[in-house]
Amino acid sequence: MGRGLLRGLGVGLLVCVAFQPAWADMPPDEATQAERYRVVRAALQLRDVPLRVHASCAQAAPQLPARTIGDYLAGFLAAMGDGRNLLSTRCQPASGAARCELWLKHVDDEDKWAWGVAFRLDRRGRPQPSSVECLGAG
Amino acid sequence: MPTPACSPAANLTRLMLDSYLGKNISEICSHGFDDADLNHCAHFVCHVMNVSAGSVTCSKMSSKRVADRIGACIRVHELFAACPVVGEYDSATAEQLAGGVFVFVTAASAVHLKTKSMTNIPKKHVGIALDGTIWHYSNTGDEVVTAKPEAFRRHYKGQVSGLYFGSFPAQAIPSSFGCGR
Repeated sequence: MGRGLLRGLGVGLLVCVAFQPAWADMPPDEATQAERYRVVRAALQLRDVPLRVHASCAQAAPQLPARTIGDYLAGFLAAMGDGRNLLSTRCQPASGAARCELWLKHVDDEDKWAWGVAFRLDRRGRPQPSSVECLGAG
Repeated sequence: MPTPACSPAANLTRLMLDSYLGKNISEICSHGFDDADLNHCAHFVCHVMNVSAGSVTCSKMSSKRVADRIGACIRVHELFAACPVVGEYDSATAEQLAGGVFVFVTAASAVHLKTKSMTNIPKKHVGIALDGTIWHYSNTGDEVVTAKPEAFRRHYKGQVSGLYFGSFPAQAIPSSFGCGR
């Protein structure tokens, strides 16, 4: 899992967040890496948010029992076995702050899926627990 | 005024299902929810049957949604829970299978028939069975294909899967390709 995940870290980032001017002067690769770090870090900070935060999360955890966003993400991280694994992030401006997404993606023949979380960051880059939604299909 | 090909029909037919063969989800979903990284198996069958069950739909998840079309469900476990009757495919009566059913393939441990619920494990898939053939969305081929039940049961390598049926929700209305609601 780790190797595939690390391989995937170079792909799949779309960043258009305007409230971190310090990154505006960074080389593109560094800015991408910094943004990805910020989104992953924010998602981890949301680990204790209960799954009842949004209907899209309520029954979405792949391993039971599950109560939190941390349980939900851990279930899909644990399922990233053989095959190609990818972690991707993206942020878009939203009401002066940002709406960000973290995706965990996996492909191994017909075993193909992508699940993740979306959440808002405030103007200071802090994740908003009440904004969490769970993404994914299949 | 609907075209003759899009005339409302109460019953699902092979002709309807065949009209989707070879189609990519981008041709099927009018809302533009067609990211090839996602698994579109539930999304496909819900467009065929025009089912919106579940916590999220393709229109809710898309920024390119169109106003006059329904959003289709996109999650297998939520579709399973929305089926009025579920059971093991091999135990289904001819009467239960007549007219078509959703057919689910996943690990038996993820399926709870008594509570009509399914855990959202990654390895799960759904198609539509009619007259012994299953139409489903191949996520490797990125197109609609057919399979026989025994091949469908082996959809996932390395997983012993069970096959389950689910009857169509009361509000389901089948449509041919290009005729979705």
